[in-house]
Amino acid sequence: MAPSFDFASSLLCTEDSAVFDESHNNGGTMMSMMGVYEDTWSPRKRHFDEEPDELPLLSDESLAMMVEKECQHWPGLRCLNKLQTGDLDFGARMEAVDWILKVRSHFGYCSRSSLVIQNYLDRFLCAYELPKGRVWTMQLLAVACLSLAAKLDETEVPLSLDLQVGESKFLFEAKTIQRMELLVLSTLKWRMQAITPFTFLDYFLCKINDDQSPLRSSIMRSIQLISSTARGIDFLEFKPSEIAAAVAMYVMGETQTVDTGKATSFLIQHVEKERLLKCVKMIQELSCNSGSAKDSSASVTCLPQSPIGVLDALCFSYKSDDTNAGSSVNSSHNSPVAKRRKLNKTCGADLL
Amino acid sequence: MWNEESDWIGSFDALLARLAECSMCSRRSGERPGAAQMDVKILDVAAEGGYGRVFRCLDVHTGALVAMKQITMVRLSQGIPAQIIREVSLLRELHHANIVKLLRVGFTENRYVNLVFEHLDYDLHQFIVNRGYPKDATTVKSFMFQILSAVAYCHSRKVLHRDLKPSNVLINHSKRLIKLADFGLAREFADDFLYTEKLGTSWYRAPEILCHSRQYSTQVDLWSVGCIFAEMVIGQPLFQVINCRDELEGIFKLLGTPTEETWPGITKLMPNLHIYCSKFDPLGLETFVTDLEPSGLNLLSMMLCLDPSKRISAEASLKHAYFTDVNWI
Repeated sequence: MAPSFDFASSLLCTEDSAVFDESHNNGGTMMSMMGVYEDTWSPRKRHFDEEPDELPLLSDESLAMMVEKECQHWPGLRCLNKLQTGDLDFGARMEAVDWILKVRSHFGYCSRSSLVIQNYLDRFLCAYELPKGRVWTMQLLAVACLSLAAKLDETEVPLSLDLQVGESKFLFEAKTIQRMELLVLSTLKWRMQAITPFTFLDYFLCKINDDQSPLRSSIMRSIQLISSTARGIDFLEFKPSEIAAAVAMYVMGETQTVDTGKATSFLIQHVEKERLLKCVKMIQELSCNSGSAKDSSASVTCLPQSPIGVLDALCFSYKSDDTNAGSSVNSSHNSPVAKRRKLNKTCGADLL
Repeated sequence: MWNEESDWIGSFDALLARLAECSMCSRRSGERPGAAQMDVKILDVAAEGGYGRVFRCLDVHTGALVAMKQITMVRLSQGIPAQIIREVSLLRELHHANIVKLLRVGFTENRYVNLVFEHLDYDLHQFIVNRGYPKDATTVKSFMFQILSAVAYCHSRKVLHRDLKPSNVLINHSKRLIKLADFGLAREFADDFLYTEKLGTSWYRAPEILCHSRQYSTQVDLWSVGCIFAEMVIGQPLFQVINCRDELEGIFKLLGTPTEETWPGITKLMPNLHIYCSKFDPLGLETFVTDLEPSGLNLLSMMLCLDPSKRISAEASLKHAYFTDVNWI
């Protein structure tokens, strides 16, 4: 049997289940509570009555190692620069990301898998120049990255042709996908572990919750928010640990179960304070923007029956903003005003 | 139409030309595929398996012996085999004296992936079978310490090996140096279970895996190490000497059929346990593993512990009394 790597773990999960167990098993049999790595077995052997922890729990020393390593595999700033200077086709990348999200939903993979796939995509684009004007190469790249992530996670890997769902404009032969896989592997120097915000999330949630297991609802909320940050390019400037810390702080603050000052003093041991606060603010704006897409009766703290539905709403709402961002200077100038307006409206609604 | 198609082919050819380059190999296009491409000279075939072949080679630049594992990519519909991706990506991150070094990666004609490793003389399975098991206690202890050091390192890096067995433990003869190998070639669980139910590799599989637990962790490797430990002492696989219908029954015969007291959660994991097998009283490790000093037997019993949550960790094993009274290199 193959060894397991937790970075890309659990592509397939029970995220869709409508019933969440609010209580957490703190018994000795919960391996993850002991800081030991945990993996999920083949889906064919899955007992759906059980609901495992979806996120591996880092130990203190593992966290330090991850923070050191994330810079080595973080394509964020270079990718952002390329997008802003036009070296990288913004629209093509966005289309690829949209496709990844659709396919992820189609196969029932975790939100985490989108970030792993996107990590591969962005690292590749920073290191390799795809032929200009060949939009199909970006699509082929997305297919190859999805295939590689699925294989690394040891879930059942769809056939190459089955990967190409979601209204792809192009259909690639298996041989072609294999060649692109080899190109991606070589370009990334076969370093296929992907450090994403999910690598750090559970650790941060537990720590700012006084080492108690966070509520399932907090975990699900965090997953939604982190997945939303993958849309657009605004969060590319932040490292995975910074995004995870900001989301954890925002979500736990949202439930008013922790002292915000205390949480901040803990988190800034691991991430820069200024960047943390900036990221929290952006998470807040992201959350408020998504709020406008929901029913007026729904509160942000209320879990809907279908997290995927909320995710779609989040993506759709945020995509509108992306369209503005990709547009002319005037539109981008107006964008902050538009966001501020939405923010006021949403906050006003909350006060009612 | 024709022009557009030609353009597509042209740009794809350019893509393929760049595909031929591999930064890890510093290869140049135009060179002949195969050994020369990997800067090695093939001496002979060292091993063959379901995955492909292993060649003993000379490194063209250093003159050192190396091992080149050539893996056939047979199912094009699935692209690059998952096991290769796992093995290479994991070994790229693992640097330890007791873990085999992956020197280069390359591919040939989109049919083979070639992995060039440092060469070691033989594996522990060969050592036990061909040269007689290590009869002196010092060698067993030294080998165990090195295996546990490598496993502890992997676990600290959040890596499970999950296929530890003597043939995946390589030995440098002159230095009596141990290196773990094969981080990815084992098949996925469902296939492996079907193929190897009656075969040797299942002798090293932890009970929680055999019970089809979907949650398992580092403890599965410690069980395997315990099986290797016993095998070094008695000279054959531990669960081969126990007369049993299958692996799990053998475990229960040796250690006793688990109950909720001895393995909390077992009735949920195996609701049909009472149907599956009779209630066995434990035969005991000491029945089969003779000639092992008491502290060694104690360590072994902590590794071959039914309840995964009570099984000793690799790191704790290294601090066990069994290792305190011996000096080694």
